[in-house]
Order: sequence, then C-alpha cells, then structure tokens
Amino acid sequence: MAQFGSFSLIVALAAGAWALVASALGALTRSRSLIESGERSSLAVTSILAIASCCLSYLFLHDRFDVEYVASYSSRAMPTLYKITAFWGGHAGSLLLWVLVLSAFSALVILQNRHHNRTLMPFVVATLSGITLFFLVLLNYTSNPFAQLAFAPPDGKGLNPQLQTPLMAIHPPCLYLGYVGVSVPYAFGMAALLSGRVGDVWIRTTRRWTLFAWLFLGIGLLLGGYWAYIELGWGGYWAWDPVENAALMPWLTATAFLHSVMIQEKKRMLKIWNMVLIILTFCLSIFGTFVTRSGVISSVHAFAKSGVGPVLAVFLGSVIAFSVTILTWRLPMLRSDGRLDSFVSRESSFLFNNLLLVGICFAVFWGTIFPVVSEAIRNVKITVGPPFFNAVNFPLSLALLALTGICPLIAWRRASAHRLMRAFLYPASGAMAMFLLLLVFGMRDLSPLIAFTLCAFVFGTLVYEFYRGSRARQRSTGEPFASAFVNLVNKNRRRYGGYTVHLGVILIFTGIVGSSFFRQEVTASLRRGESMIAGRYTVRFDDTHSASNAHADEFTTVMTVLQGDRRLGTLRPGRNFYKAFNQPSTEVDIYSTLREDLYLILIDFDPQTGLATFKAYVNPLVNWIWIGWVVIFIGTHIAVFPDRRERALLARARLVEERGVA
Amino acid sequence: MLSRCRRATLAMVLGMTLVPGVAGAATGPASGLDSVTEKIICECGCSNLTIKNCTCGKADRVRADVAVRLSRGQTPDQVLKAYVDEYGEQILAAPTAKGFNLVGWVLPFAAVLAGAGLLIVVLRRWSRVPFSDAPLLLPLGGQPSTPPDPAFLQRVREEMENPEV
Repeated sequence: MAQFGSFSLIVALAAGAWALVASALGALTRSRSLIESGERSSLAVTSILAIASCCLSYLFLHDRFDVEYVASYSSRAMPTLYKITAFWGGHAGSLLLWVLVLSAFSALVILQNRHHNRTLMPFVVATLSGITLFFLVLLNYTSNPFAQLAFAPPDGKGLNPQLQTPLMAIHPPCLYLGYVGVSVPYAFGMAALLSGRVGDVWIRTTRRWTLFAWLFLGIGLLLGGYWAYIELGWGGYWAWDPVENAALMPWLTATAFLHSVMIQEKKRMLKIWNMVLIILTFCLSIFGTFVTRSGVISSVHAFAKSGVGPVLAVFLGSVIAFSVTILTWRLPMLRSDGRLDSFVSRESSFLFNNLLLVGICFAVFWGTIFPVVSEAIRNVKITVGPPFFNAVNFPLSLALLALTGICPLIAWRRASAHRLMRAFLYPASGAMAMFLLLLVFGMRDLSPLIAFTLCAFVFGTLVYEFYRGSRARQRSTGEPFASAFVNLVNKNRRRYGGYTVHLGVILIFTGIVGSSFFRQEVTASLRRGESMIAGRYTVRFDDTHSASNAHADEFTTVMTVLQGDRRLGTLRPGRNFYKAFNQPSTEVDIYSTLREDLYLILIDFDPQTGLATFKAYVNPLVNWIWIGWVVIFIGTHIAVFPDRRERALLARARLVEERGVA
Repeated sequence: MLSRCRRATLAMVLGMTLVPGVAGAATGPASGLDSVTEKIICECGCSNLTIKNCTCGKADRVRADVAVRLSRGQTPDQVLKAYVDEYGEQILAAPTAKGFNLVGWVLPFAAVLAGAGLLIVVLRRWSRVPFSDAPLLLPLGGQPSTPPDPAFLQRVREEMENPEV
C-alpha cells in the first residue's frame, strides 16, 4: 500500500505538470483541446491525490509502522479518530492534506466554470496547477509520507497527547481550508491580469471563495485560541506565537480585500489596490507555511526539522516576483479614471479601514520577523513577545473599531453633514451613556474605558442601521416590523450579513478587553479542606485521585467551587505524565459563565506534605469571544448565501467585459 | 488649505502618540514581582509566554528567584538588568525602546501615519469636492447654509430605495 501511495504521488506529479503546461499553452494559443486537456488533467490530479490520501489513511488505520510517518505519529493504542487525524499530525501528511484540498478546490472551480469565464479559466487552471505542482514536488522529493523504514517497529510513537483532542483534529484542516482557499481568488486575479480582463468579473466570481477562505481562517484562529485556552493551562488564548501570527496576517489582508472590492464594484476604482491585496494575502498564506515549516523563526507550533524552508523561500520569492511582474505589466490597464464625489464618504472610510487592517498586519509581520532582522543587523538575539504586540496593536485596533462604527453611518458617494449628525446622534449618545455608566461603576483605567465606549458606539450604529432599514421598509411596504426586518436582511444579505459579522467582532473585542484588563489571579498552597478566594469564588481543596495506565500517570484534584454558602460545582484540575513522550501535561478545569470564567490550574502537589499549589484566574467575558465567533459564522453565512441580485450583477459584469473586449 | 492639512496631521500625530500611552497602561500598574516577571520571556518552549503567565517548572524557579532578589532590596530594573546581563537581550519579552530596537517600536506607527498621509493626499486628488469645502459639521441647531443640490438629493433617494451594497 505504501508503494502504491508513493506511485500515486508520482502519477499526480506528472498529471499536475501536464495540467500546467496544457493550460498555459492553451491560454496562449487559444487551443480548445489543450485547455480541456489541462482541465481534465487537473481533475485527474484530484482523483489521484484522493487515492493517495486513502492509502495513507489505510496505513494509519492498519498500524503499518514500517512507514516512517505512521510510526512517528500513530500508535496501536490510539483511538481510531486520532489515527485518522494523525494524517495531518506531521509535516509530510499535512502537506498531502494541503495539496489534496488545493486540487479539490481546483476541481470545484473547473466544474463551476464549465460554461462561464472561459477566457479566464485556462489562466486560472494554469495558476492553480502551478501551485499544486510545487507542493507535489515537495511531496515527492523532500517530504514523502509513504517513505518506509528498513524495519517495522512493534509500535509507533503516537500523536502528541495534547493534540489528541477533537479541537486539534479539526483545527489544522480549517486553517488549510483558509490558507488554500485564498489560492482561488489569487488565481482569478492572476488570470484577470494575464488575460487583460481586469474588470470586476474576477472579483464577483470569487467573492464567495474569498469569504469561504476568510471564514475558515477565522475558524482556524478560533479553534487554535480555544484549544490553547483549555489545553495549555496558562489562562490565555493568544500568545502572539509566530505561527499564530502567520494565520492572523492573511486573515487581516483578506478582511481588507473583502471591504475594498466593494469600491471596485461600485466605483470601478482601486483595481491596483485590490490586486495588491489578493497577492499580499496569498503571499502571506505561503509565508505562514514557510514560518511553520522552515524553522527560521522559532515557534512552539512549528514542524521540527522538515527541511523544506529554503525551497519554500524560493517558491515565495518566485510568487512575489511573478505577481509583481504581471501587475507592473498591466498597470496601464488597471489605472481607473473614477473619482470620489466627496472626501467624506463611505469609500474614504473603507480606505482608512484598509489602511488600518494592513497597518495591523504590517505590525504583526514586523514583530514576527524583527528577531531575525535584529540578529542579521546587530548579531544580537532578541525576543518579540506579547508586550510588544499588545502595545502596538491595541491603539491601531481601537482606531479600526471606531471606523467599524463610523463606516456604516456614512453614505456612499457623499455624506451630508445633516445626515451625518442625524446618523451619529443615537449611537454617540448611547456610547456616551456607556462611558458615564462605566465611570459611575468605578472604572478609571482609560484603555478599557475607551475600548468599551467604542464597542457601545459600534453596537449602537449597527442596531440603528438594522432598525432604520426595517423601519423604512415597514413604512414603504406596510409589513409588520418583524417581517420587515427579516425581509430587509433577506433582500440585502451582503450588507446585513456584513453588519452581523461586525456584531461578532464587537463581542470578540469586548471579550478580549474584559479578559485582558480585568483578569484576577491568585496562587495558593492548600492542604485538604483548606480554601482559597478567587474573585467572587471560594475554592476548597477536597480530595485527590491518582490513576495509571500504560500511557500515562494521571493525578487529579477535586475542588469545590462556592459563592458565599452556595455550592456552584466541582472542578478537577490535575497533571498527567505521558510516558511515551516523557512529558508532563497540565489539565485545567474551568467554571464558565457568560460573566466570567473561573480557571483553575494545579501547579504542584507534594505527596509528602499533602500540600497542593493552585493558580486560579478569574477571566471576565471570555465566553463573549467564542460567542462572537459564532455570530461571525452566522453573519458570513448570511452574506455568502446565493443572492439573486448578486448573480444578476455578475452576469451584467460578464456582459460588460465581453463587450469591452470585443 | 495648508494650515488645515497641518492641523489634520498634527491631530493624527497627537492621537497616535496619545493612544500608545494608553496602550502602555494596558498592562496595568503592576508592582514588584509582576512588573519583572511580565517582562521576562519563559524559554521553556511551551509557548510564547512570559514568566508571569507560564505554568512550567522553569517559570516557577524564575519567579522564586525574582522574588528573592526583590526581597533583598533590588529594584525591578536592577533585577531585569541582572537577567539581561546573564542571559542576553533575548530574555526580555519585548525589545527595549533604545538604539536599533527603537526601529522595531516606531516603524509600525510610522508606516500607518505615512499611509494615512498618502491616503489623504490621494483622496483629496480623487475627490471632486475639495476636503476644505466638504460640509462636515453644521453650526449647532443650524440648517445647511446652502440649499441641497436637487440632483444630489435625487441620487440619495435612489440609493435609499435601491442600495447596492
């Protein structure tokens, strides 16, 4: 089976190479047979990679430890679920998953566009095949998951125990769906440049792909953060690790892209900027792969010793050179003669929003690579950790938050002062009321005061927008308010889906501010029967339990959580020791409410004295972060649903472009 | 026109310099042990965590050592300096804002400010109505001093009835 898997990868490489050559030649010569051959080859690559993936899954499920990758990431005792997810537990398998997803997306794009975008498609297929081919070369020559050992060990090493959770089972695939999904709009962007059809067809065609990639990058970030929170035992969800940053950066530029394409659609402007953004987003997704797999920037998440760093660096450099060259070549076509009606308009506010999103992305990028820059220039190693990222990004995020509130209130084209005053009146009043309320309740720290006030302002603008739209519809149609609300959202899913996403962002921001500024922390050493006070809670150390099996020694404490005399529940923080990995692991337990989390960690236990040391965090509003992501998920679904008017606009754009070229 | 531009730039610079000050307060008034341990990175390899947050054994030992040094009368700055002398600059969770490291701190803000300046120039060039003439604010309780353009009102009506986005 391993040989068959290896053989499949070689066949996929050959088919991928032909898909690239045939599509490129087909695009240049306009040969229909070559174009179709390229598309068929691309579809064949998908099928072959699906077979290769089945082979690898088979090897995992049948404990074939003669395969080096299986021996490294699986063991006989592992549950079947994790034997399946061990597929992407290491470098080579995750690379296979990456290229499988990419080829599946390519196939979907080909099937979606059998009768559309026929001029763009050969360039799209060539671009996607080029990317696929690169990863197939890696799989065949540097990172073959089917490589066999000279002997078969009796058992495998197994997957890192901290990765054996359902969250980690789906976190990497979600991130890959995001990273790889970005390839589709990038390929269409390149196709638009290469074919000279630089109108807004490529943007409208790929809008849902971009949203899809953006959403899954976001879900990947959420799952990673949630996993860190409940598994790593330090009470937080984001540590500004280089690999975390690598996933955040393309998400930020994709967010900017999703906003700025609206200006191109409405005003035929920013064609160059949109191209720059999608190139940047794609390059950052490759940069993320480079960071994770090169070892140039040290990270806890990185795949150790994968050895593909230089090859990935060359690929990234080639992508940048290719993209910039094509963009420069087509600059005259991309220059627009569109004009803004006014400086004070939604278009302007979107551009400032873009500036801040890209600015935050740059700050994250700069902080991530600054240790390398410092070492190269000064030969001094430094660390750029959370204090830097928090200090730099917090003010930029506040400005972005303010714009999130301001943007919807400013009309497209030109905002009149009278309308602006009217639009700002209620949300600004609400925000001011919130500010005073927080002051009355004793909040004196300026940072959270500003942040919560801005959150209230943005929340107010969004509620006002929903209310104003529903009310206007109610007046014009005579529908009841609830029906008017539903129909309003239904008639303009893109706008109100976007506003729903903004609501989610507000919830997340509120949660981050709450949990960052008002976290309480207590450390105490207790004997059985003794208690510690953490915020509003009394936590009593009642008992301990020990258990041992072939894989781990497990030690658990039993803690009763009380508020006053009222018993709220039992928490069981503990520490496990995994024998195969010679690795201790903190097992936290959390008492979670909408208001706050009581997060309990067992730091140490001395069996001689019976003294246990605990750390308790009271993390306010953490659940708002997870709920915010759910709201973003819902909002994206509203925005991404098929929309008759969007389809009509796409058809019109295609017609305009056909006429323009003819 | 120039003075307006200068005022806008000044306001932006002031805003940017004020807000990092706010962010500086983001870490809160930590004293003693926290003020040192939140500035030292834990090199245990668990994650990108400071000694204050990390729960590994190494972090425990560093916390204990810092507590001892502080109890002996060393100031937080002296403790930090001792750690830097022993382990090098990389022991700090963030680069000091001195010398070349200052570039690390300033560049993100400088880039955003430069971008904002460029954007204002571009937007003014693109705008049919110059920034100085844009009706941004009204006198309190006042009405627009000039009657609204009928064509503009018509366009607003159309947009309200058929919002594209």
